[in-house]
Amino acid sequence: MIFSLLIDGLSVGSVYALVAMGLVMLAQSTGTMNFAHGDFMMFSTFVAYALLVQLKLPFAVAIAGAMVFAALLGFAVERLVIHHLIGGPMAASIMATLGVAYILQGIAKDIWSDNIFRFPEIFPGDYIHVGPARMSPQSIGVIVSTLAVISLLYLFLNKTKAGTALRALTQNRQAALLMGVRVSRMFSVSWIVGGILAALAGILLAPTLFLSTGMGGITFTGIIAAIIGGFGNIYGAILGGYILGIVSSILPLFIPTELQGIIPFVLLMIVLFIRPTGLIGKRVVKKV
Amino acid sequence: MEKKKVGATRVLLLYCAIATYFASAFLLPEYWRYLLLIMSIMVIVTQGLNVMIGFAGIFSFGQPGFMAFGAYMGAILSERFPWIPFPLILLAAGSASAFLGLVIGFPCLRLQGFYLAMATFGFSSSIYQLINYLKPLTGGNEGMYAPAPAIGSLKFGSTTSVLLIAAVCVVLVQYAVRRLDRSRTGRAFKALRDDEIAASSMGIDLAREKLKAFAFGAFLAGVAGVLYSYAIKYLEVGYFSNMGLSFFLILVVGGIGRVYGPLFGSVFLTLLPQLLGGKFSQQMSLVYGMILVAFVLAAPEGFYGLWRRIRRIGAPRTRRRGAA
Repeated sequence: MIFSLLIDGLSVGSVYALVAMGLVMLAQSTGTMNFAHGDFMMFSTFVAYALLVQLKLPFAVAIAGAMVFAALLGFAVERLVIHHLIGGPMAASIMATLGVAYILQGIAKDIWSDNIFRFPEIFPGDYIHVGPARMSPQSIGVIVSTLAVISLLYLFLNKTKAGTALRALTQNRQAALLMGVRVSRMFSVSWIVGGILAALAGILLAPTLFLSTGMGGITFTGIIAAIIGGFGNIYGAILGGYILGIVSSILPLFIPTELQGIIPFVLLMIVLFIRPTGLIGKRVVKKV
Repeated sequence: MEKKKVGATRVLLLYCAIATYFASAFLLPEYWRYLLLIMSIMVIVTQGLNVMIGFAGIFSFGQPGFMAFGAYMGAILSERFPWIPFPLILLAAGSASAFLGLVIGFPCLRLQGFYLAMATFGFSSSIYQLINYLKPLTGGNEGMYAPAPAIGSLKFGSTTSVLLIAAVCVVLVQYAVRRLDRSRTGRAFKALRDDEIAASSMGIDLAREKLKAFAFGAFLAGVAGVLYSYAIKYLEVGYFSNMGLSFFLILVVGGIGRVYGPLFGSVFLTLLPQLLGGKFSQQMSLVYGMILVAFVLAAPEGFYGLWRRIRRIGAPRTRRRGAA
């Protein structure tokens, strides 16, 4: 029983980890918290759904289509909105991304209505029994694909020139600029990568959680996961995602279902009280 | 420094506006009276948000949550203890919200701004769940009736009397925020908003000032929640969970950090659905989102900034000094 729940938790946690990772990557390199991340995810998943179910295209095409769409969306939002707010107050960029989130929701409602859609399973098949545990191929598939995405992102950040530039941007924007990093272009790259991560998370999440225009609320869960793990780097975000996923699938055994929704908040408050920088965060002292 | 003299015409205009405001509680038709009431409540909540975001620079998603907390707190108090006069209920619900704000704010305020923003978001969504869970107190999903404001056996349930109560609150809040704007505390808020390090080296206790601003915002949200329960008479969690975006919109449209910003913003947001008509309700998130983005990009100071720009047209050019 516990083991099955653990697998479920890891699978939900994978998606949280993907969301948190995208958010932290973007926040660290560009300084903007993208409150529309979940709605990027929602919209791209709807695009995948449209390609897959409504146009009856194969899975690979649908996923590729959704990723391309998400990349374009990220690029467009950065160029049209965020680019003009760099260096401005935090409130301005929060409100702008919130505005983008609501615009995306509005358009999605117009095209696909408010209904809940069943997204076809990417990894179909019967439950696999291993000893006492019961695992669905979907959960296993999600866990494995997430690990693959994390490794790809790791390779991108550490082995490519663009990735190195992004990390330089994260460490010190001024120095990166002086070293010849094209900061403005790298901002676009960050948003494109963020968009793709959102699309992947959405496609992995949709079969278990269904597809609806309200899906974007996961942004907040993602941010909370990232803070729990440590907002300073993407590995903290990944850790936080898994912790939140596991805790919120095992705890419902012990507390009433109506209170499940407050688990992330309670966990967040505990972490902020005990270790405000997150589980693997370092304390950053800002110098003038 | 010499105090800036306020023109006599301005003072007269202000009194006229307040008189019109109170008179319209009697003169307007019922529907518009109700809209004015809702608008007044919005002014109170967003004024709290204005002090938090606009003055002190701390972002919060907590306003709807504190409002729900205040509303239920007020309703439960006046249901159990009907002898408590309503001004005390307003104060009690406000203070309880403020206290809750302190509890949540305390661990977050030493951290970067968005930690607090996320904690307030988590708080809001948790309070809805808690309210639904505490069925014996709150009626859970089915909601609960909110008793009308009363002093002893005198009841003031009509829209007109609730509007009058709200109007008194709005005038008090506007006055308080205007005083705050020019006080030592207000200047401390703005200093820490603009540069935390500089502010703390000037001897401003960052955490304390932030907590003050946060508790003030929560207090106003609590009071507004009770007033809202008087207006809608029947409480359900769903009323509150969808409010967040409108508050931000009011703030941005009116002008963040301006004493009269929430006032202009609330008028705008109340009139907008009336102007756009029936099709509006389906397109709400799209319209709100577009207005929000448009204002943040093109008029970050809201109507206030636009008005100043219009007034400057034709006026002799002055070069700004001190801009580095």
